[in-house]
Amino acid sequence: MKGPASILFGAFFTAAAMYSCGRLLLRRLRMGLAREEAHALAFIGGGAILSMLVFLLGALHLLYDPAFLALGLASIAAAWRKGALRRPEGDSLPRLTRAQTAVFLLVFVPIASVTFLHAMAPEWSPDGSGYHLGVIGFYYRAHGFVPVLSSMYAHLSQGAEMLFLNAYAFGRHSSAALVHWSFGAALAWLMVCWGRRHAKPWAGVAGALFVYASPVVMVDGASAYNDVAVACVLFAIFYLCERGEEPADPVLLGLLAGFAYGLKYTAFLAAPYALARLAWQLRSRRMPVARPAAQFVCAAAAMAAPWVAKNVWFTGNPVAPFFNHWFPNPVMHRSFEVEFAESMRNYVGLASYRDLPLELTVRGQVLGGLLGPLFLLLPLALLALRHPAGRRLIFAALYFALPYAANVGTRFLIPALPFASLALATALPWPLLPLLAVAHGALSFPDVPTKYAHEYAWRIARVPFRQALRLESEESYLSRKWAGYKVARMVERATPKGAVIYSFSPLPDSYTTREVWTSYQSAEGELLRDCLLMQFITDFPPVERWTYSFAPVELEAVRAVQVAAAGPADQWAMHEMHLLLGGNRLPRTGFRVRAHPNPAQVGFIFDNAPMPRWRSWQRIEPGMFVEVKFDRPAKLDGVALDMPVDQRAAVTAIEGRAAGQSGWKRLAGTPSITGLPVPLGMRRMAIEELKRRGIGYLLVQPGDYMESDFRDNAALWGMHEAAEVDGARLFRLD
Amino acid sequence: MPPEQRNPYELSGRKALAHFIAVNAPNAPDHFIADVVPELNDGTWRWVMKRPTFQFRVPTNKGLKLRVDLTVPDITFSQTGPVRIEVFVGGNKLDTLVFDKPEQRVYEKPVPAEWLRPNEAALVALEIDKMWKSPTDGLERGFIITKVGFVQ
Repeated sequence: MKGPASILFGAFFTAAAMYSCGRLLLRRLRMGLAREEAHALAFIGGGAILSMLVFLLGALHLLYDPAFLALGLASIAAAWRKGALRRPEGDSLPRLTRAQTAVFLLVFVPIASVTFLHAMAPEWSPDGSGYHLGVIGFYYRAHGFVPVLSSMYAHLSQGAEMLFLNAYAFGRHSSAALVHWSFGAALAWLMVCWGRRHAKPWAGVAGALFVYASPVVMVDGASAYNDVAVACVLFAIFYLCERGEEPADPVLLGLLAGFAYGLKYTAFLAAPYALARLAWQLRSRRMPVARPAAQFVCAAAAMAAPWVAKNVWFTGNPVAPFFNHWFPNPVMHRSFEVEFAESMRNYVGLASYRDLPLELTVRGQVLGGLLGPLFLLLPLALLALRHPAGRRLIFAALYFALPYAANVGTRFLIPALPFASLALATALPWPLLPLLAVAHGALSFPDVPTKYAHEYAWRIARVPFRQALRLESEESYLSRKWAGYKVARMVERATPKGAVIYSFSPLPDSYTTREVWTSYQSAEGELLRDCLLMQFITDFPPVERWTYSFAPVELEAVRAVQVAAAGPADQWAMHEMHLLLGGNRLPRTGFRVRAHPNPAQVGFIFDNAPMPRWRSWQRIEPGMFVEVKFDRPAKLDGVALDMPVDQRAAVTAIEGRAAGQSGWKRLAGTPSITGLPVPLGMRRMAIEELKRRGIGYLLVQPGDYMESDFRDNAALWGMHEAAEVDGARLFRLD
Repeated sequence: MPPEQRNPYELSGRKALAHFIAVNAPNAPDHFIADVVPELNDGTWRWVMKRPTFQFRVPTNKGLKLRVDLTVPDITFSQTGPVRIEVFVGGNKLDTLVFDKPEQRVYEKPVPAEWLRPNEAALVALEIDKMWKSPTDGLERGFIITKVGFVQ
């Protein structure tokens, strides 16, 4: 655990390295930026550069503290030596009036202070303490990129996390959160610059404060998330396209567009947006397009392609954990992707999409945060359509809000929020703007939202001054505040170094150095959950034998094929396949097997064990098959399939291919069904499957399915309790 | 390469006693001791008489539960009214089931380990208090069983 000095050093050192990289870049590009905007764009562009440099360290397995130190010092020293850190040469933007400055500082300073302290306090945001920092912690300890196939989140692009990693090396979690906080400050600064550049200073000031003082932006931006960083980079791209005098620099624009993808998949929209605006700018000035466009594409690819390559290398799917239909792989199941996507569109507690406006702006519990009541005025932003700048803002807001359709959580609107806020600010009469900005800031200050929002809305509820300065220790604060932290620390204490733990529910991975397989976050995790639940869900075990009989025939291949129509939610599953002749099973030698889909696990059908079972891990489709190809033609007169009963939509037929023939012939379509004994010892079989994968512990938390059975029948499972905290039990597998 | 083979999964050959049967399984009759009507209905269930008795072999006596999928159908209930079925394992009374209405039920209850011995035959009996009698030909029936045996 790090003290305030280490935390601040990690954050400021990383920010300084980002800024230095950016100033070197801008110096080389000679863009003629105004001084004020050069500071912000250097920070953001330098973030892209530093992020990629840390990626390279990871790829080369050089993630050591001295390497981070050397990288940062080299960036700062290079910028110093080249004179890039001198005062920017460009003109200054028109100054703000005293009133504008006063209003800005009146809201910005308190909000910035509160969010800074929150970021500096021990990190306990759900995703930040979970995967954002959990995965980089894994890389940090391994000193480089290693496959983390037990977590779907390890496959997402991690542009922000690379910057977090640089800070984490010195100040751990809070340093990382402070790096994210700095993107929020840069965003506000750049939005003010937009107002000054476009002669709308009040709109710039108010728009910046609308975003910066939004409760969800405050808490997200002060946590180790990436949404505010995405918003910042997207706005920087927009800003570059809006400067007016000359076309945007294609290299910087491309770097930022690629960096946007590196920050978050959904920000891939930045690249077509930026390229289209660049091409438009060039054509309207009758300038050649091809070369700048090529420069843009190269720069964007340099920032995005490494993430694609990393995924191809580790998973076989360039955009893992999504699009598994296009890129089948053994790491993620298609069925999970479908279920995950559905859950992201339908948050528990959201009765109707008609509730969205109030949930998003005022209540804030169901969708994980609130924008603030101010945004109930957002329809007035349409008045901005009266002027060209407003139209471009509204287009950008709508365009960058497109991914919201895939996930209706409040924070997924943050990338579009700067555009919407500026559009609103430009639409309203300027005398209203200071009033609205101050009122918005007051309504968002901790813990005014408790007067109108849901008590469990995600927000900064208090100013954690003592915790930020570590006057109360991290251990004490988090243990008092958060059961998940205690569970993670229990895992750390009760297991040896290198232990692997299977857990039904997630826990804050970043607070343990152990590898935790969360049940739903990987294909293997789902397979093991299927095994563990087979004891409880009577539809899962092999309790029916489907016997298909036909006239004896010599075949070079035989297969069970799915002939049910596509559509039902059921998956196809099978425990065992027996090839029969004269009532006897043929020996299981002299053949090869394959399946479509899920060929990797087809061996489960021929392993003489009721678990694991083979599943399609996607909805039933006609043409799915499990095939046996004999080395030499074999005679048989029947096929028996040991089946579970959780696939009522399945219609399975048996087809054969005779020697020397190319086509498949239907041998039998209707089985005779008899019952099979429910296997004994399924608990221990499931535990054996965990052990076969190197898992040594099982974590069962309150609320997990059939939680009490693990406690009451630990001996039958083949494990014993190793530790317990607040009802969460850690079992060591015998 | 042929798929990896794991611990043998005994599928209960015709002569081997299993720990659990569906009454339509090919080897199910090997487990019938008394009062199970030989005819299989709809390919899945059998009538039983006053005191159907079954034999099983359990590889362990730890953590076992007796599970019976049984039905008291409308046709018998309309004549007998509420019935009671006593459940025995190895001569020990495990439970008494009360059917106040026609019902299909999956009964499951833990069996004390000392009532069973690993790898020895275990007898299970279910005794109904009132039999149904056909008004036309005097045929008697008790109730319906689909699956019976031990689970863990």
